[in-house]
Amino acid sequence: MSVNKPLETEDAEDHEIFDINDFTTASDWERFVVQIEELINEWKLNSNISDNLIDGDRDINFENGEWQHKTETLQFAEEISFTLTYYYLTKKNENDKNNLNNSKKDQVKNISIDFDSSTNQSNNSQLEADENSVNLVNLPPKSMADLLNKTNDFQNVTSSQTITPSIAYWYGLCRFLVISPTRNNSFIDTESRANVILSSISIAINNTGCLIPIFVQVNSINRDMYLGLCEGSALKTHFQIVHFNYTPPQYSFLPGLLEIFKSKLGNHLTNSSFLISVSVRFTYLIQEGTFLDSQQMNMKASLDKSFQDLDLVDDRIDEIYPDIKNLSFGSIQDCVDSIYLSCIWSNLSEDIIVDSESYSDLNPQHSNDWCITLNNLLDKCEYQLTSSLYKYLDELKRTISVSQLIGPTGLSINSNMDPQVEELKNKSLQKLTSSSSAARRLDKMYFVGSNIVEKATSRMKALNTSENQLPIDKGFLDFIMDYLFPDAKLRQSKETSKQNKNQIKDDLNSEKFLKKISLLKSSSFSNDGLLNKFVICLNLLNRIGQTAAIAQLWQEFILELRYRYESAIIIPGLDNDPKKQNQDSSLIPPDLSRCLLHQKIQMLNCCIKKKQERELIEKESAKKLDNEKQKNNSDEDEFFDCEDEQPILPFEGRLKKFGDLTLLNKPSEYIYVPITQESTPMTEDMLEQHASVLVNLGSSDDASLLRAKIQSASLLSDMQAFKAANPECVLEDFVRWYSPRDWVAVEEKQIDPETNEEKIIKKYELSHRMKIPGNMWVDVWNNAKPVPVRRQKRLFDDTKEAEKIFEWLNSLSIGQIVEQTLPILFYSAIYTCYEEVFKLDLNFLADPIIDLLIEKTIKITRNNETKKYHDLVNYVKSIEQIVSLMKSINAKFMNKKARISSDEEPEVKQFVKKLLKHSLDQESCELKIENGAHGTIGKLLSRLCVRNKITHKSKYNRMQSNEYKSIKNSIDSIDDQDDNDEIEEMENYTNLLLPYDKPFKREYILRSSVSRPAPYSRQSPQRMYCLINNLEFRLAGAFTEDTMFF
Amino acid sequence: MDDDILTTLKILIIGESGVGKSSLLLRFTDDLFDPQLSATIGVDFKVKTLNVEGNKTKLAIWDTAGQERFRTLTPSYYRGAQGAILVYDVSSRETFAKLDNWLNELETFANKPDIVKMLVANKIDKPNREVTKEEGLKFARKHSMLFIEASAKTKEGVEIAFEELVEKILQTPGLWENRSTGLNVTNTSSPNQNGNCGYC
Repeated sequence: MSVNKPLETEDAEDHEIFDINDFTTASDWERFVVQIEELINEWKLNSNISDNLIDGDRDINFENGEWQHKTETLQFAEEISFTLTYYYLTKKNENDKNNLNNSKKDQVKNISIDFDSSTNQSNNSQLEADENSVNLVNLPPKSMADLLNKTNDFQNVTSSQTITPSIAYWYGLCRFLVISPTRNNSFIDTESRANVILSSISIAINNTGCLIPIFVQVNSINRDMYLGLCEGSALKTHFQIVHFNYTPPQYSFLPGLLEIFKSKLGNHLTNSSFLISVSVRFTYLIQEGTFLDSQQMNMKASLDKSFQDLDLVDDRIDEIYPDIKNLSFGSIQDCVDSIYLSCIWSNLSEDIIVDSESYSDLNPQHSNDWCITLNNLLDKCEYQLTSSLYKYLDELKRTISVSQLIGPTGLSINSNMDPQVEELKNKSLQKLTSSSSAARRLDKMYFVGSNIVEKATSRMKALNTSENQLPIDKGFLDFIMDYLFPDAKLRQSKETSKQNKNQIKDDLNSEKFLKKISLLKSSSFSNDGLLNKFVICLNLLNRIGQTAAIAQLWQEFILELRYRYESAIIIPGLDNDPKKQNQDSSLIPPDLSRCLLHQKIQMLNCCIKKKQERELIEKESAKKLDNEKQKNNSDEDEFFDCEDEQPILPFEGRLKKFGDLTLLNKPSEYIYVPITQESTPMTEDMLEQHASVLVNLGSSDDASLLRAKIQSASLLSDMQAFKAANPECVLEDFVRWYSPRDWVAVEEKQIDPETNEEKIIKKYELSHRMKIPGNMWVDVWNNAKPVPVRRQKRLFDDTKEAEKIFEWLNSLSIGQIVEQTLPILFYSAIYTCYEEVFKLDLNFLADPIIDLLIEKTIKITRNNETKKYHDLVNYVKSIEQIVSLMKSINAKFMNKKARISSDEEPEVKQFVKKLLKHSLDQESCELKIENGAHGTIGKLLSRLCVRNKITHKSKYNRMQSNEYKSIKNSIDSIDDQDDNDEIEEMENYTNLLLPYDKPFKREYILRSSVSRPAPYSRQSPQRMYCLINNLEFRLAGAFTEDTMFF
Repeated sequence: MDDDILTTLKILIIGESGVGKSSLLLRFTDDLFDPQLSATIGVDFKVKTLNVEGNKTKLAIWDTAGQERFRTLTPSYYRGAQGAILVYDVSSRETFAKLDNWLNELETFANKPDIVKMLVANKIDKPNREVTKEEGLKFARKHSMLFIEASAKTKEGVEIAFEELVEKILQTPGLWENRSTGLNVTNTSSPNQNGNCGYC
């Protein structure tokens, strides 16, 4: 810049002296032109040097580049505004390192450009100008050269997944400017308006020396019509466009299009003087529209079926209700909307191909350049798991209680209920009670067969008169309860279904799967536990039956628990660890790594177990008592009032001998370890409460003492038991068992009176701290009376605890029920997601999401961040999208009909995965198929499409038998292995695939290098792009003329 | 006064009975040594505010009973602990040998996965040492713990033990939560947690 500074000042002086530039009367139009020029200068597109910018990037093409654009607003006469957008292709940055290098290069380049431009401006001599013009003559602008460049033909999508702008697609341009009306503005609808803008462009181009084509968008925006201009090297290219909603019949094939092209080039040309090269792309629609895939159809059917009155077959009882065992997964619609196959023939000579309505040389089977386009509806589809989770989360806000919603224990409903409740109820009633007759029939079947455990349900329901008003009909409810508590009833169908399930399990039992699941802390991630099953059912009921259904199942569930507690029947399915399950003898304390609800139910199980034990002991002692009574009728009260009396038995409640140790005061007696009370099992909330009590005492010495007192209950119990088991024992004996390190050796020196030698004798005594008078241990010991465990106060009051749990369960509102069950539901959801991903071998794509999901879920469930559950659903949705898309793609490309051989399989799998990955990145993905028709994938597609052609015809044309034969022959000629069975099978094939004998879309690019406008003009690039499909007809032409020799 | 406290940490002291857990705690909190201290029943609890590198940290230290029978009770209080001090008595090999059990207990019941563990060799003032420093070091290295020798009686090593432990906890992302902002540290430390769910 420093170079041209003096020149500038010189210029300025000149102006001052000689003339005054008066712009006060400049028109709107002139101002508009200035705006364009300013922007061109600002973006450094203002001379042929700008063309060099791209020189280093000559090798950038649509495939390896990335589209960028910048936009500025232009103002025309105050009220009309336009945007000027600069589109340009840049090198795709592979990684940050490259990025850095590139930016450095750019800087270097910029400096050189500055230098160049300054020299350019400063050299005004005639000679230089001539040289320049010579250069210009030799080198047409790159944009014009691009018109003839074939590498960018039909490249819709660049490798970095940016979509090619349509202008670039039509003309093969790498850089261009577009002036478009802003949206709220009226568009350029008349030719004169367009011409005003075009002439502005022309002026701007000439003033700035811009070599980049500038377009102006005309007509309504959605028609995508542009006129444009490019000048340089004394050549001028006009970009013109034709757009119709229909295809004029005379121009619908190659000969007609060639005719137009030739007529545009000029009449002075004879056919032999130039050659037109033709590139063609035909696009075939190989699948149209949306449909449900067969599996999902079944799902939907089964859902519908369950609410219809059906004749039931005994062994198919499972099938009439929706699947209550698994979370439903996947999209409801097919998420692949349509599939297109495009075949490209490039660089053909116009005179060697025949393309007409009746016959075309362009047979897809002869093209080596295929690509497939998949339009997906991923964002529009509804996903079952995702939507059910959302719906379940919606219930969080309901503060209504269970009994408010469906009445206490299902008894008659109060008519004065609030309207929200009524509304909810009505909705759910309509949905769920329509199948009462089917249910009644079911009932009969359910109650045939032996009852192992009588169910609480049936007892409660017998009393219930208003059963019909509940959202879930009785049959379905029983079906669910039987599933949740399989020990309550054994049914044959259950067993068969179990077998099926096991089979699936076995399939999944591969090491990899197990490894992953164990990573997930296996215990929490499973669909098998009682609560998992229960929550899956709740979620299902909520999906199909509204809120009241949750309330009803919840109530039923509590009733069942209550019944089990009262009858002392262990609740099944709470511990997944089989080792633990076998240890029936001891209590399993609640697993604190599980959610609160799970802990509570486990706690209830502890209560039930304790109750069982107690009842067993009571029975035994009653028996004993009976025996005693028979022996000695007078001793009735001995077991109950013994504290005040001298025990008849010298010891009670011994567990085992404590080694060989004997009592200090009575060396003839061994020390016995007493039977002790087990510590109180605690749930998370109890523990917190307990801890906070201890914490709230503060940290003073007194507080410590108080804490010790509070916690001394178990010490007291143990001391009492010890005393009962070891009559005549002392604290020292107890300490030897309980805290052996407080029984310390003291060495004493003694002088042997006979030998006068010093001897060290070891004596044992209580440790110093145990001997401190008034210490806690001594106090408790002194207060302890010999009482065996079974007559002690229970440390763990199972009755009280159980009641507390029931109270808690009953107090939950719908929202709270949802809140409490969310952790379980999400763990099940993750399990389901993982199972689905694993089945389809999609770990390479889904694992990062699943890992993230797990990490977040663990955090959210641990911290009880209820509001954040919504975030998790997004991850579930991503996984559901991947899986649904994969399923859909698999159904299309890897079905039985494709008959993929083992050789082909790896390649097909790879292709399918690539297709999936591309589809996930964007709504409409285009993927090249290697070797076109002759590659593995091409052959596969040919097989699939030929079949579909037949299917289509057989389905819609209702073929005559002879037609059938001819078609059959055609199949045989293509694929000899087809036999009759398969053809019949195909007729039933439901995929709505269309034949590909007629292209859905045809595109042609015609190109030539021709002398225009006069025969002695230099040769210049000419191009016309043509698009023909049943919606539109478009011609986009670029015609260049020599402006020097005409 | 509570306002400038960075966070509250829960720390456990565990180990065989009579190794000096309560004495260590008393020395740390009150700078006292009380030979009259009686055997802990269940759990006890003390609070102290510590200043580590300018960060005020409130420590809630849970002292546990070492007796076998209390082990059904005390592990319930392990939940939520960010740090654990395992104590043994250098004059008793038995207390050293039982450390494995205590580690197991900790694995089973402490629910924070990266809880910081420190091994303290207590009673180094005693003449009849049975466990050498090297053995203690070796054990700590094997189980990736901090290690220090200390004496609650002479005060040696006690304060520094707690300070080191707290410092280590504060350096471990995701283990503690900043009370003043309510933000979890994990979010800021690992960027991919915040990232949108990308497919690849």
